[in-house]
Amino acid sequence: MFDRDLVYEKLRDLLGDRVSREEHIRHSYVGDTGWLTLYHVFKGIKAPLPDIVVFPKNAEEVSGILKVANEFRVPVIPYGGGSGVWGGTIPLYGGIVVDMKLMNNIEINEEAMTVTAEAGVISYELELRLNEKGLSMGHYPASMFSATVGGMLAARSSGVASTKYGKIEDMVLGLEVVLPTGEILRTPIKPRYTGAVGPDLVHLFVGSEGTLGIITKATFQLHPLPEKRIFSAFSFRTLEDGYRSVVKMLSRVTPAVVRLYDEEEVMKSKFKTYTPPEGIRGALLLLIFDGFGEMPELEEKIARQICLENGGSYLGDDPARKWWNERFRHYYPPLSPSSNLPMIYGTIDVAATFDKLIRIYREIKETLYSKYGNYQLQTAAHFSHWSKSGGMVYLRFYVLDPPDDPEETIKLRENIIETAIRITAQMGGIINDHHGVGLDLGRHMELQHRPIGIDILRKIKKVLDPNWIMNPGKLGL
Amino acid sequence: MQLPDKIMNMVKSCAFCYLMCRHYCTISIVQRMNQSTPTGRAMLLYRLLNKEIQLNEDIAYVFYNCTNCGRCYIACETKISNPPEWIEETRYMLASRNMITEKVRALRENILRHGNTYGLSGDKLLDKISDMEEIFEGWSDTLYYVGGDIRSRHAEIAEKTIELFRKLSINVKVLRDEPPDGGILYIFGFRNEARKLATRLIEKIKSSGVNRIIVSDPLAYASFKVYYPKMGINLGGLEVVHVLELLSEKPMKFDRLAVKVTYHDPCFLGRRSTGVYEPPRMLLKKIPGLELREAAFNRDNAFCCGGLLQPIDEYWAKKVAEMLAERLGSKDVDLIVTACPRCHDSLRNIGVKTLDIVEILNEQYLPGV
Repeated sequence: MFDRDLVYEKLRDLLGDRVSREEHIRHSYVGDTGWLTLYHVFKGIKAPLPDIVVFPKNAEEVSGILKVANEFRVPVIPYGGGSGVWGGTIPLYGGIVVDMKLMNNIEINEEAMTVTAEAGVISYELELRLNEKGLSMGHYPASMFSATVGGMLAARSSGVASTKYGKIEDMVLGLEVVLPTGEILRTPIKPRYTGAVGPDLVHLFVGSEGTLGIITKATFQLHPLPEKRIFSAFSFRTLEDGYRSVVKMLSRVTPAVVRLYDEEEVMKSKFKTYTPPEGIRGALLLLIFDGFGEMPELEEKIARQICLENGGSYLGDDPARKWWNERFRHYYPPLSPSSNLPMIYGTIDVAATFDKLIRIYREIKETLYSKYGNYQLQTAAHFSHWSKSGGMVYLRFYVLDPPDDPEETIKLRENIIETAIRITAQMGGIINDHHGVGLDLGRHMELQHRPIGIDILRKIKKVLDPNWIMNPGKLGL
Repeated sequence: MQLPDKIMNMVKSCAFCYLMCRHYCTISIVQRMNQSTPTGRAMLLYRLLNKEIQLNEDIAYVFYNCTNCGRCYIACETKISNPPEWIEETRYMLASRNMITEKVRALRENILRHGNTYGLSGDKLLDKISDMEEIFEGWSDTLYYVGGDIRSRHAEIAEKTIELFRKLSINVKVLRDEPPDGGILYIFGFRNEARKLATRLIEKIKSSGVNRIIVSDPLAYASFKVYYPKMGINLGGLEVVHVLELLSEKPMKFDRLAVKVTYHDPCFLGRRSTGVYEPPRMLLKKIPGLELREAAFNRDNAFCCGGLLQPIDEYWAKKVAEMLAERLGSKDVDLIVTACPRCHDSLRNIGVKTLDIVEILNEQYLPGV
C-alpha cells in the first residue's frame, strides 16, 4: 500500500489542480463500457476504484506521473475514451488513472499525407478535422464518438471499412510513448509501418493495452475523402455460398465494407445489430465500394458477377446504404444490449485464415447452443474486417434471463467466453480481432501465445516495467 | 432521494449507454472528463440514488456544470432520453435539499432581487429611450417583453428593436415593472420561485389588455413556449412570437452592407424551443451586399456559447465560448450575428466582434422603399 497523501501531493506539484481524488471523480473512472463494468454498476456491486485521477497535458507531464508512480510503486491505468469492452481500464488494484483526453492536438501534414494526433483526440474529432480538408483516415469504428487515438492503438481498433483501409495498426507510421520508467520514446515516422531497420518498435506498443507504457502521440497515413460510395447487397440460400463469394472476390477487388450476416442475425435474434429487409432467408451480404472515377462501379460489377455465380440474389443498393446511414443506431438505448441489463451479453470477435474461419464459427455456435441451451442462449453473427487471407467472425451471445446471483451470472458469462475462446485457439484462430484482451480475455493469453510466447511477453514487460506498475492484471500480465 | 419513473428511465438509458453523445456534448468536448458527459453524469446520479455515494456540493456541481444546450439530444438517434430534462429534474431535487453551489445560490439571488442573471440594478432602457413613459403608459394589443438581461446590460437590443418597430408602425407597449419570466430559475431547479414569478408576469400581462407578446430574449421565448406549459402556467390565448418571426413576415427593404457574417443559432431560439432557424436567415439575406456564411454546425447542430454556464463557472464558460468562436470560423468573417444577450456576452468576452441581428436590421432598414 502506498502513501496516498504523499503521492497526491507529489502529483499536485506536477499538475496543479489537474489531480483529483474526490469520491465522485474516482467513481467516474471505474472501467469501460463492457458488460463486466456495467453489470457491477447496474447491480450496485462494489468494484475497485482508482485512488487518484490525473489529467496530463503533454508527454513531459505523463513522464513525471510515471516517475512518481515508479518511486511509490503505484499502479497506473492509462485511460482514453473508456469505450473498451473487455475491462481493460478497470483499476483492479486502485492506483492512478491517467485520463489522456486533455492531450488533444491535431497536426495535419498535407504534403506528407499524414496526421499527427495526441493520444486524447477522439476518433470523431480527428475524422471531422480531416474531412474539412477533404481527407480521411478511413477509420470508422462503432466507438468513434468516444474512443481516443491512444485507446484505439492500445487495443488494436478496427473500423467498418478496414477491409480496404486496414486496422489502426496498419495506419500508424510513428509513435510517441512514455515508458513506464518515464523516458520518452519517439520513433521515426516511416512511410510505411514497417521498414528494414530491425524489429519494429511501434508495434511493440500497439496492442499493449497500457501494460508497457503510455502512448502520447501517433502519426497516421491519410487518404483523400472518397468521391463516391457504391452500395450493393445480396442474399444467399446458405452462409457457405456467401462466404465462398467473399473469399473469391477479395483476391480480385477491394471493397471498403464487406459484411456477411448469418441467418440468426438476419432473422431470429432480438438483439441483432442490423434489421435487414423483410423476407430475406439464409445469409445476407452487404458491400460498399468507395473511391474515384469509374473504379467503385467496376469493382462492384466484378463482385456482383462473383456473387451471382455463387448462388447470390442481388437485392439492390438500398440495404447496404441503409446500413451505412443507420449503423450507429443500434448502439443507442434502448436498442443497445446494455439497455437490457442484467441480461448477459458479449462478443466473440475472433479471426482466422479463410480455411478455418467459417469452421471455427460453426463449431463455436454449435457448442454454445448445446452447452448453454438450457439458459436459452441466443447468438447472432456476421463476418467482416477481412484481409487478403482471412477475416473475422463477430458472434454476439445473449442470455436473456440470467441467474439472480451475480457471482453465478459472472461465472456463466466467463464460461461461455472460455468455451468459444478455447475452440478458437484449438482450431488455430486468433482469440480476438479488434476489441483487445483487457481483463476478460487475459486468462486466455497463454492459450493463444503458448507458454513460450507468453514468457517472451512477460520478459519484455519486466525489462520495460521493472516494478510492474503499468495496468497490472491486464493482457494476462 | 427519488426521481419520477419517467425521468428515472431516462437516467438509466443514459447511464448504460455506450457514450454515444460524448462527441456532441458541449461540456464534454471542452472538459473532456468522464463525469462531464451525459453518460458520466447519469451514472453518478444512478449511484447517488442507489446510495452508493453520498451527496455533497462537489457532486451537485456536476449537475450544474451543463449548459442545457440540448446537443446531446440531437446526437441521440433513438431519442429515448432527453438529458436536459433529467438534469433539470435533478437540480430540482438538489434545490429541494438546499444542496446547491454558492454560485447557483448567487444566481438565484440575482434573479429574485434584481430581475437579471448579472445582479445589476437599474433599468438601462430609461437611459436609452427618451419617450419611454409613452411606451409604458400607452395602449397596444401587443406587449414587447424585453427581459431582465437585456434591460440591465443589453438595452441597445431593446432600443433598436423599439426603433425598428416604430419605423414599421408596429405599436407595442412595454411593462414598466417587468417581472422576470422565471425560466432560468426553473432550469436551475427553483421551481416554486419560477412558478411564482411566471404567475405574476402572466397576470400582469393579462391585466394590461394585450393579446400578443413579442419576445427578444431567447430564454424568455423558451419560457413562454416550453417552460410555462411544464409549470402548468396557462397563457389563456396569448399569442407569443419572437421578434425575428414577426419581422420576417414584414415586407422590408434594406440598404447595402458589404460584410461577411456568420449567424450563430442561440440554443433557446433553436433546438431548445421551437427551432426559429429560417427567420434570421431570411432577414439577413434581404440585405444587399451581405454575405451570409453558414457554420459547418448550425441550426439543430449549432454549438452552444456557454452562456448559461457563465454565472456558474466562468472558466469553463470561456472555454466553451472559445470553442464556439473557432467552430463558427469567426476569424474568417467580419462579424458574428446572433440574437441572444448571453451569446453576445460569451463571444465579446473573448474578443469576438458580434452584433445583434436587430441592430443590423434597424441600421440598414430603408423606410418607405
